[in-house]
Amino acid sequence: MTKVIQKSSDKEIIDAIKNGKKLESYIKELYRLYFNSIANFITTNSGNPEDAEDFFQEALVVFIDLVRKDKFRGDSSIKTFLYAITKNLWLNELKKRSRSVVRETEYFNNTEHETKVIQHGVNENEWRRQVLAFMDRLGDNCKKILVLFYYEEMSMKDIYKVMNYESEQVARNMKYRCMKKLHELLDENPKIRQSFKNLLIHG
Amino acid sequence: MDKYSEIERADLIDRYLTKGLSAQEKTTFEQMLQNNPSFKQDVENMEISREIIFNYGLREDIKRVRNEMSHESKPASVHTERKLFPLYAMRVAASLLLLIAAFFWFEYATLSGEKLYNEKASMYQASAYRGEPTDRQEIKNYYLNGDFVNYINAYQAAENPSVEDIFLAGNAYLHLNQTAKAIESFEKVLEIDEALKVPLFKDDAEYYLALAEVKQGNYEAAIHWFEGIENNDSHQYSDKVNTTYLWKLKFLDWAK
Repeated sequence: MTKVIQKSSDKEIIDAIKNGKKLESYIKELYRLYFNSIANFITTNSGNPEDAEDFFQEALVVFIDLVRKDKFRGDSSIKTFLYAITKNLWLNELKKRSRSVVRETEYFNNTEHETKVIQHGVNENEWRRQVLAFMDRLGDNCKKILVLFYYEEMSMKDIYKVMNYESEQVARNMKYRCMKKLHELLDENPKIRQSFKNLLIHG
Repeated sequence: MDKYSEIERADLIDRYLTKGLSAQEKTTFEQMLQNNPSFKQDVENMEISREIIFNYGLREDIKRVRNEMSHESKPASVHTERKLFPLYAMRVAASLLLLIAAFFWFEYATLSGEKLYNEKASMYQASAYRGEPTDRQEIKNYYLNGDFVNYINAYQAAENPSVEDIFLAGNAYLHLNQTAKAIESFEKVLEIDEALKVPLFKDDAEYYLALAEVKQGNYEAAIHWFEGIENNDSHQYSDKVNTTYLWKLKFLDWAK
């Protein structure tokens, strides 16, 4: 049987991200709609298929983050915006890999406001990737409980059942301990903490 | 705030960050924030941590989708179900067809190259790269400020214009209605870009060249470029070209 693709409009996707709806189905749609096009850009510009997957993933992270923070005003389409983010990320990568990048100035078919927003988003993403390593030092249970509460926005009442804790209070204590551990890691790395804080403040 | 246990205090910070405190709680909270540096640090850590966790969760979601997609077959095509068309609806359909025909007649009767050009024309936005030498930035500022005459003067005086200089010159010529020169510039960009390993201007130059050809009345050439863009899903401008626009161009080419 032929599978039917229900294509959401740009506005529907943006509203869903802003309203914190379950993102998985929208991420799937963004993959279906734009991955091939953006992957082609990377593979025809010194990248391999794995680079294309990695950088599309990074572009989605930056895109969703900018939309959540209300920095995407919809001056251009999602496709143009995602394309510009990917170009920005990929040019930075090429510079890191010391490839000769012909032009020093980056032109995108975006407004000046969008270009600034994208540059900031990409910069912030770089710092975020560094602090993400802290999550891996927390252990699986900690990661799970924190993601369920802060990302999935699940209540503690549901979390204690999902994670098989004895009571809601036990789950609360666990969440507190995990968060404290994450804070300690931040305090042990003042330089990263400060840079990330600055980005959040000036973002 | 001392009356709270550490866990309650953490919950309170969470509620503050999600705007869940009452007005009174918020006032007390913000006083504490001002007077107690250690508390302020806790709040900042909480804010940063929430950001890290959200980002981690998002990446996990994306990874999951990425794995699923790599196992999924090619995107399915949009499926339309055939339904039997009731006879009584035939009359309505015929009337609609007449209306549509009238609409198209009006559309094509008022069609012109200028109209089609204006439909798609927009100023190309350039952003300055911070590390750029000051003299180049000054030249570019002419373009950014819409001073196309001075941009062209500076461009013509430049000894070794870069690919981006030529590309911007094409856009400036287009705005100054020197369309032949605009076409020449975009063709030059494509020629140089083709020889490079990183042809980052290709899509941009093709699109603006197609537009310039419309403006110049070279509809056949414009159709060639626009068809290439429309048929290539990977093209940066593929969503800016549609079949209707191409039909209009073909009509103008035929009526020429």
